[in-house]
Parts: sequence; C-alpha cells; structure tokens
Amino acid sequence: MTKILIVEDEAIIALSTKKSIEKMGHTQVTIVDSGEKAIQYVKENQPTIILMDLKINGDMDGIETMEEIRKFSDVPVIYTTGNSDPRARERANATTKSSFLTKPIENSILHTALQKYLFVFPISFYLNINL
Amino acid sequence: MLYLLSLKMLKINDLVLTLEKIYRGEGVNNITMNVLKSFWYFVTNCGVNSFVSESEIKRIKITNQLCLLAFACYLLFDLTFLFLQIPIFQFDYFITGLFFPGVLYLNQSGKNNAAKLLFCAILYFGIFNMLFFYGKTFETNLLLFPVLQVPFFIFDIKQRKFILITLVIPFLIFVGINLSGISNPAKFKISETDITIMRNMVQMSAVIIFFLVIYFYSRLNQKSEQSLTSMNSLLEEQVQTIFENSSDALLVIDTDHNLISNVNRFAVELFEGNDKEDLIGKQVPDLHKDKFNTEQLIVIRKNLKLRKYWNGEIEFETLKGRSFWGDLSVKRIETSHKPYQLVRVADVTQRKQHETQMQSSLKEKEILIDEIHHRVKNNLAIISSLLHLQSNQIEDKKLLEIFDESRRRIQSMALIHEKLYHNESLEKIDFSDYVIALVDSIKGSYNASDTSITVTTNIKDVHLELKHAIPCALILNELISNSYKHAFAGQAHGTIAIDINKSGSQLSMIVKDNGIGMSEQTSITNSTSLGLTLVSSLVSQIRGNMVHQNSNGSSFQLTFNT
Repeated sequence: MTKILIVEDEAIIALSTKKSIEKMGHTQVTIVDSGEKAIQYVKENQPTIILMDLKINGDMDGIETMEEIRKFSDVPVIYTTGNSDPRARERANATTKSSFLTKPIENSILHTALQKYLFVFPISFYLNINL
Repeated sequence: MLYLLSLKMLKINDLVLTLEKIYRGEGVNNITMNVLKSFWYFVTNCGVNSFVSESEIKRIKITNQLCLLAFACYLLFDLTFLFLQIPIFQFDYFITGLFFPGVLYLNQSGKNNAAKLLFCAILYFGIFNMLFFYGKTFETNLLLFPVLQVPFFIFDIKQRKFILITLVIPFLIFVGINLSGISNPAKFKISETDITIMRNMVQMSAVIIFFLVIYFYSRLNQKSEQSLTSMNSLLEEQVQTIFENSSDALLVIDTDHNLISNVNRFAVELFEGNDKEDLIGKQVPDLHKDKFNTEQLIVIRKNLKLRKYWNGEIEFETLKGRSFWGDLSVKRIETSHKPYQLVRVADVTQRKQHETQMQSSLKEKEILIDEIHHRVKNNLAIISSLLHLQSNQIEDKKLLEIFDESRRRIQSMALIHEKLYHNESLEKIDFSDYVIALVDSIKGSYNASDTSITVTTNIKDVHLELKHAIPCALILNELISNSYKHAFAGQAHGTIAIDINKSGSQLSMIVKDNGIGMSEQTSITNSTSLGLTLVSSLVSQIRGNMVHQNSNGSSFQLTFNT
C-alpha cells in the first residue's frame, strides 16, 4: 500500500492536495504541519513518498527537515513551494531523490510527479538506469 | 588755483581755526606750515582713490611729488633766467611750467599714464630746450642722466612700452642734437659769468635730482619691502588662523620620518588629547582602529604618487580608546622644498550610523514586501485550493469547467506575485519569464486533450509594472486558454504563437493560432463568453486597443502605452 505524507502548514492547501492524490487512487495520505512531526511520522510509518512544503511550522524548514530524514531514510521527496526562489531551489536540489513543484499545483503535474517516483523510479532503480 | 584747491582738503573746522588765528595774528609760522602740509598732502594725493591698486597709488604719489619738486625747480630756473636776463627761457620756462598742474589734473581724472607721459615730456622739454639753444655750454646733458631714471619708478615695470618710449625718444633727440652739432641757432650772446652761474646751477640741479632719484628709489623699495613683510605676516597669520579654526581635524605629517609634526585644535579635540604634544610625534596609523592591509597600502601609495591625493573612510580610535568613523583625506604638499602630507579627518560617525540605519530599514522593507508577495501568492493558492475542494463535490462537467477556468485565472495572478517575490526590482517583472511559466501552467491543465499543441514565444526584454502586468497576464491567460479550448477542435496538431514587443513606451502583444478561427459573429466587445468579456474590460482598463483577425486561424493584437 502506497503511503504518502504531505507536510504543509496551510490546512486548505494540504486538504486540496490530499483530495487530488486520493482521486488518483491513493488512500493512505497523511498530513502533518511541522518538520518535527514529519520526522516522527517517517520513523514510525516509512512512507512511500513525501510532499514537502518549504515553509512549514516549527524550527526547521522543509529542506532542513529532509536533511534530518536523509540520516535514516532515502524516501523520495517532492518539494512544494509558494515561490520559485532560486536559492531555495538550489538548496532543495541538493537533497537526493527530490523534485520541485510550485504551488498551486495542477492535478496533472502532481500526477506526473507522483508517477515518476511511484512507478518509473522503482523500475529504473531496479534496471539501474539514472533518471 | 592750487592754493585754493588745497584749502578744500582742509577740514572746515581747521579752516575756521586757521582764519581765527590769522585774524588774531597768532602762530603765523604754524599756520604757514599747516597750509604747506595740506598743500603737499593735496598734491600728493591727486588721483588717489580706492579703484587703483596699492602699487599704482605709490607711483601716482611719487609722480605728484616729483611734479611739485620739478615745478619748484623750474620756478628757480625761470627766476635765474630772469635775473641773468637770458632770452627765450624766461618766457619758455614759464609757459612749460604751467603744464605741471596738467599732470595733476590728468592724475585726478584717472588718466595716470597720460599724466606720467606728460610729466616726462615736460622734464625732457626743459632739458632739450637748453641743450638746443646753448649746447654743451651749460652742460645741460648732466641733467639728462638722472632724469632718465624717472620713468623706471613712475611707470610699472610691466609697462615696458611706456618705459621704452620715455627712454628711446629722449635718447634719440639727445643723439640727434649732438650729431647735428646745433648749438645756439639764434646766436644769443651770454657773458662768461652768466655761463659759470648757469653751469653751477645745472650741476647742482643734476646732483639734487640724482639724490632725489636715489631717495625715491629707496623709498619705493622700502615701501614695497614693508608691504611685502606686512603681507607675509598677514598671510601667515591668516593661514595659521584657518589651520587652527578649521572645523575638520588637520594633521601635518613629516614624510621623511612619517610622524605627525603639527596638528590643529580640532584634531586635539577629536582625538581626545590634552594638548598638541599628545599627537605630535605619533604616526597616523597608530590612530587607526584597524591597520591597513598590504593591498590597501598599495592603493594608497599609488594614489599619493600619481594623484598626490587619497580619500577614504576609516575607523579611528582616540587616545582615550573611543572609536569613531572619520572621512580621511591625505594630500601631498611641499613647503620650502620639503615634502609633507596634509591629513584631514572629519568625524562622519553620525552619517555612518544613519547609513547603517537606512540600510537595515531598507532591508526590513524589502523583507516585508517579499513577505507580502509571499502571503498574496499563498492566499491565492488557498483560494485555488478552496475552489478545487469545492469542485470535488461537482459532477456536472460544464460546472467543473467553470471551476477550472476560475482556478486558472487565479493561477495566472498568483504567478505574477511569484515572479515579484525575490525579484531584484519589486516594481517591474520580467514578462518573458512570466509568459513561459504561464504557458507551462496552462499546458499542464490541458494535457489530457487529444490535440498536440505547440506554443512558441517571442518576447524581447519586456519588463512591466504590476498595474500593467496583472491585466496583461489575465488577457494572455484568456486568449491562450481560448485557443486551447476551441481553436483546434478535430485537429491533430496546433500551434499558438505569442509575440510581445516593446518599442519606446508602446507595447504590442500578439496571440495567434493556426486553428479554425473565430466565427464572424463573435466580436470581443459584444461577446457573451466571460473570457472575451474579461479581455474587453481589461483592455479598456489599461487604455489599450485590441484588434482581432481571422486569417489562417485567429489572431489577437493588443497595443497599449506602458
């Protein structure tokens, strides 16, 4: 069962994203609003993919949270942000297995991004192809 | 006439007192002396006014004084001629002597050069007159040599033309008379006794004139020396006063030893010393808070060598350890062939603090504006999400499409704020960047369509203000979406071309597709579709003009002044 974690401090945006993902057929979608909660969730539930907002509640931002998560997990991450600050992109790109989407996210774009990690990435990993 | 004029120079009170004394018959000698003094004073000061320079005043005074002395001399000669009954000169010298007041008159009228030339002419005339009629008999040529010195001190040394004229002309006349051998053409007879008297007179006059010339020379030089000394001391005093009272700290550096050799009062105050001795003998870098690094020293030395000047802002430390920012200027100077550096330090701590405050306030504002754009963008994302959540409840395809269109319109506005966020200029956005992002976003929402649509963009360096960017973004969104939705029905491929150009203040935006084209009945102004109604309203909002053409598809051209 695919487990998807949404880390987003804006409840409505999180809910909208959750509904879109659920429409794609994934039912185990969890929303948390801070880095600390995200780390705890990843430790306990090992999600298949994370949708991580850059600006979240708590002391850590999205990238710092992922840096912590990377210490114990290589779960793929799709960063979502309300802005396209090049410095933030640069920092986010340094995280392995990551993509970057700008909010509000179109359903089709989200769908394509998820497909990449849920289906294409595991196959390429299996076939040892660099994407 | 001169006597009367001289009286004018006396004060009225003096005149009344003098008349009273004459009436009472008291102190006649004193009165005579006073009259003579005031007469001398009057003659000396003829033509002296505040419009002429100090040195010229000196020369005018000497001319006037010489004029009076020469007049007296002429009078003496005339009386002698009268006494000896020497013909010609009795009348001749009397008439010539009358020209002396003319010299004073010309000086008084401001025609100083004419006065000087007339004076020389009278002198030479007297000499050549005697030389012409009696030749070497009277040894008149003896007078010529001291008199030839006169032009040197009555004319300014720069007036070479006048000096040359007054020297060359008499010299030529003298040579001419000597060579021609003319002597006593009227054949006047004169006794040996008279000749001896005249010779003695001329010799005596020559000696007197010679001493007079020496006297005036020395007086002129003495005066010049005195005025030069007084000017020098005045200048020194002024320079010292300026140095001491400068509102900037001034330090003089002896470049041989690289030590401070003099400072002004303000420097002592600024560096919190007790007296000048606290600073004299120190090195300026000792007063710097941080020492210059090698690169800075190279730049400073290079500037001092090439431009003889260097300026910069440096943090100093006073003798009591207080830090302050100073505007430091170093200028290379040379006094008595010895090189020095003049250092000026102005306290700019307050200005520096203001600058830092302004910079931090500017930074705060930038962060705030950034944050506002981020919030606007986030709020638009929330609105879009709300519409998305609401559309999840809707089954009706027509209604769903309306919700999607609304979300796209919000998205096109949100993109503008995204581009402004972290943009270098918060006033204008790079519209070419924006169009690429908008096209990507629209493409994403229509990618389920059967038609393969290519979008080409041709936008050259177009930057728009927010008031134009948002309406343009919405217009572009409507036109591109319109093409996506309606232009390529039943076609396998389609192309949308976006061309944006700015020429001066005029912006032209063309959106063209190679689809089926719009029906002839549909016009932008009276369309029933919300999309085209929005386009029409936004065009009038930016005072633009929209032209629609149906040729190999549909083409919309918007023009407006930015």
